Amino acid sequence: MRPVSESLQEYARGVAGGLLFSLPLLFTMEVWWAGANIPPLQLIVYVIVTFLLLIGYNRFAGLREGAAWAEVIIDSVEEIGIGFIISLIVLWNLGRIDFTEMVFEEAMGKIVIEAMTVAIGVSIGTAQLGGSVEEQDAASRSDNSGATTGRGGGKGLLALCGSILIAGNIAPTEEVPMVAFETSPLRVMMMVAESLVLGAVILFFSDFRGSGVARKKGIWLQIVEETVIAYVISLCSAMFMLWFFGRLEGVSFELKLFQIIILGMPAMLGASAGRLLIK
Amino acid sequence: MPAAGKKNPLEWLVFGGSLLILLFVLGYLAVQALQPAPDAPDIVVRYRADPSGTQPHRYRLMVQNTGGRTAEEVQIEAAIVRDTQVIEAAGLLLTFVPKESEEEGWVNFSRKPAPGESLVVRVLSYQSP
Repeated sequence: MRPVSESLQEYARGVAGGLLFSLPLLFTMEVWWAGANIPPLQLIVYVIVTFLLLIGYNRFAGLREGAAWAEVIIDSVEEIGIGFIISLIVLWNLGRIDFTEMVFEEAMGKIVIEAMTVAIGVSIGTAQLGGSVEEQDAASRSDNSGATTGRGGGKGLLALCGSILIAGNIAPTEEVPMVAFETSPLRVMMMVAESLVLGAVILFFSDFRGSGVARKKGIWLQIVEETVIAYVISLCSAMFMLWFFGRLEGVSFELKLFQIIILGMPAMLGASAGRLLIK
Repeated sequence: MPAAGKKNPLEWLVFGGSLLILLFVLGYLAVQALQPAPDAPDIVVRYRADPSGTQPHRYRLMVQNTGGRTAEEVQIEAAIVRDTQVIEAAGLLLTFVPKESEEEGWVNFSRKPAPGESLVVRVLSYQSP
């Protein structure tokens, strides 16, 4: 049986990671507002999607990578629970929720919406922020073997997590639609080009780190392939986040597209750097 | 791969607590989701005199949203009226009044309503988010 002190350390890393990655969102007005106004069905979808994301991350890239599904699910449940507690405490400290004057539904909405990001942060923090010696040894061993690093599904998941992590702080805010309303097609095209180049450069550097997979196809082709995949994942996650915060409702197709591409740039940054940051 | 081994009591506690929280939240949201869609906001204003040392003709307005949706940009007008003529008016703008909640603000006049005059408070407009 693991000593309690070791578990406590792991939870502490999780809490630190949770706050590290989600504190900006806990201080963002648009998220509080969204929490108070997003319909409950959408919140349920959000919780379930986050739960699945956590399961995927824990299974393919987390601290106990490749562990049994039951273990992974237990970890994910714990991370969501910790996310709720942290979110409750911080929001209450900030005066954003109040159980005497506020309708319970509003407080609940705010807690839920913040808790999901915190939960993802807890998961990443537990995996990334140090660890016991034997855990780190095992983790670096699995890195060098390349068996898990090279798996497509794992890579795609890391890209998705990375994109949500970086772009998630920007997605709820007013600045995205504001830029979209005032920009021109030329600028937006430049953003697409910049996203692709940025992603390719970052993937180029991350490709050399901890990847023992034999490259049969040649490095350039692999870079192009991974850049395109990462960009598609970024655009999809940007679209999902914008839809979730209601930015795609009632706007023209052009503005929808502009917003997705604009948010797609930070999402691409996260997607391509995902492997550097969170693995 | 480090084996997690058997779980110690702390881990069971955290897991159990987290599971309870998760189930409670999902259950609560499901119940909320099954209820009929919210209707429009509905603003109700109450007021009373609330003089202070520096503002002797001040009134406190309690603005309540009894409807099922949040109201934004709620404009309230308080006016001293004689018959149908407005003698003096003051406005209050509340950016945000969530559903089933109350916000409050104050308006100021240069004098109290004289005999024959009355204070009329009404909601001018509000919008949905």
